[in-house]
Amino acid sequence: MIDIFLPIAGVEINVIFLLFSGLLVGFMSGLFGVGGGFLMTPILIFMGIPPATAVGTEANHILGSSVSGAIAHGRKKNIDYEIGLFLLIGGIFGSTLGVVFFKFLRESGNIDLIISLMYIIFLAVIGTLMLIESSLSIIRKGNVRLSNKRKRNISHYLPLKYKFKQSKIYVSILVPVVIGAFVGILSALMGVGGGFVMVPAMIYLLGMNTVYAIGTSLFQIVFVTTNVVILQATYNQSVDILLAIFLLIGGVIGAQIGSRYSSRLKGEHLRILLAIAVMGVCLKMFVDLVQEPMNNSRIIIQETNL
Amino acid sequence: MISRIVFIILFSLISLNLCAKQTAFDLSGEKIKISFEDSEPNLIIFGYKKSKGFVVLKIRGPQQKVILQNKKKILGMWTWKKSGEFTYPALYHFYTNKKADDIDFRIKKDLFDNIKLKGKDNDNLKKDLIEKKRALGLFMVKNSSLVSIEETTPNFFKIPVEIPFNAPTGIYTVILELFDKNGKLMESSMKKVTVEKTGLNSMIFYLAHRYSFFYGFISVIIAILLGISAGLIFRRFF
Repeated sequence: MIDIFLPIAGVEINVIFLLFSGLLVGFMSGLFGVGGGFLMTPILIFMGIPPATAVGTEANHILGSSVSGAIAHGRKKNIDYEIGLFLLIGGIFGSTLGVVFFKFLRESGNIDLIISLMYIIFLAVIGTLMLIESSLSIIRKGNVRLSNKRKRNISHYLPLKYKFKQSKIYVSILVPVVIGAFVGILSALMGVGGGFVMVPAMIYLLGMNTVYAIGTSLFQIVFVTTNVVILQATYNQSVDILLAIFLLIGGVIGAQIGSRYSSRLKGEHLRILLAIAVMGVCLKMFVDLVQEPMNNSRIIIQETNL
Repeated sequence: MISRIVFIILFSLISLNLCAKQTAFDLSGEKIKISFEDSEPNLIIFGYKKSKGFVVLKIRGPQQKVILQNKKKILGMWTWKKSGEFTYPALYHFYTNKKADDIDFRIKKDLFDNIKLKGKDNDNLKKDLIEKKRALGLFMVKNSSLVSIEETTPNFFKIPVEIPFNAPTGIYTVILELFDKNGKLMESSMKKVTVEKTGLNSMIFYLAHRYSFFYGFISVIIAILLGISAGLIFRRFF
């Protein structure tokens, strides 16, 4: 048993357990192509890490695990930098707002509640959608493809329209800015990259091609999480670099193994398993929120050496 | 000749004065270094006591301003709510020669008196805080803790002191008090000791709290470098 003391989280934790969690979530993110922040943060909270530190540190973990993917997509020219810029403008604004709100909630003592509530809602939605989508594709046995016809939606009626040459779309710049801002807020409050919201939004609202959507979202995630980490560290002291390092080591190895298996295994059945795992985590968070707590008092240090 | 007489008189007075003192103590060092890995006692108090009274050794940490939060139920969900704001010594340890297990009333009073509550005084809140601090190992009362150095010299004792890792750094006060049979304070002497932390943990904590922006920046750089290099290494060797 090798225990380490995490300086910012202020808890003692087993290194093997930490590396294994990073590996497991990394493996799943490699397998399914998701960032994994929405699974890692709850796991960190279950381990006893204060929710605020779990969120701040997870943003750092997401940054580390997204950067090599973003570079790879950049080399393959899968990033639409024009859309990326507008996403980023929204993202920087949203994440800064999120951190300010985070600080306010933390001082009033409600940050843990808000983090749990947001996770419960998001995990329930993601889990249900995934369950429905993968069950449907098993029933259809893959012979029905979703029609890729671009329908006119809100992004075509809003003002400030701009021609994005790379993606060959003509939409209002307000749409990527709003998507970016929304994801930025999520990133600050939940410690996620937000790819699971951004990629579908880019495909369905903007009408982008899937590969460009993934590449561009990774580009946005790298810069937005950088902003979140620096602001969280500066205003909330909620980034534990030691914790992030262990998660990254486990996570990067896990993701590499996961991505190798992803082509060999049947997607739909695995997605059902992931959906069940997501629902399980959601349920556990809900139970923890309504159950009589074991530890019902805590001390927040304001100042030492007065 | 006169000067010699004066010297003899002065010397006798000083010796008499020294002899009149019932207790004395010294510390094994003026600086303590604590680290997470090391759980050995990090300070030893060497003391001397002539009388049989009640001896209390207090270790008092720097003052700290804190908020105590308790879980409250809102719409069926548990959330933290501020119960009070306090100023108190970050660490308060008592070592006594009392044989029984119970906490002496003077110590209880001392603990309560040293907690300053902002706003209206509330003993229940103070009690909550003391309980929490005891659970964290930052408030502690240890009876029968005076170890005699040698059987032949029962007046000399030592007390091994352990400052826990979660205690803050700073200047600590060590106080030795002697009470007579009636509970009256007979003597009190005081010394200062500096507590420092060593190791990576303390460095990270210090950086994160003192140079927050710089720490955030470093965290970003480490994550990026680790993310890129771990991926490269894995792809090359596996």
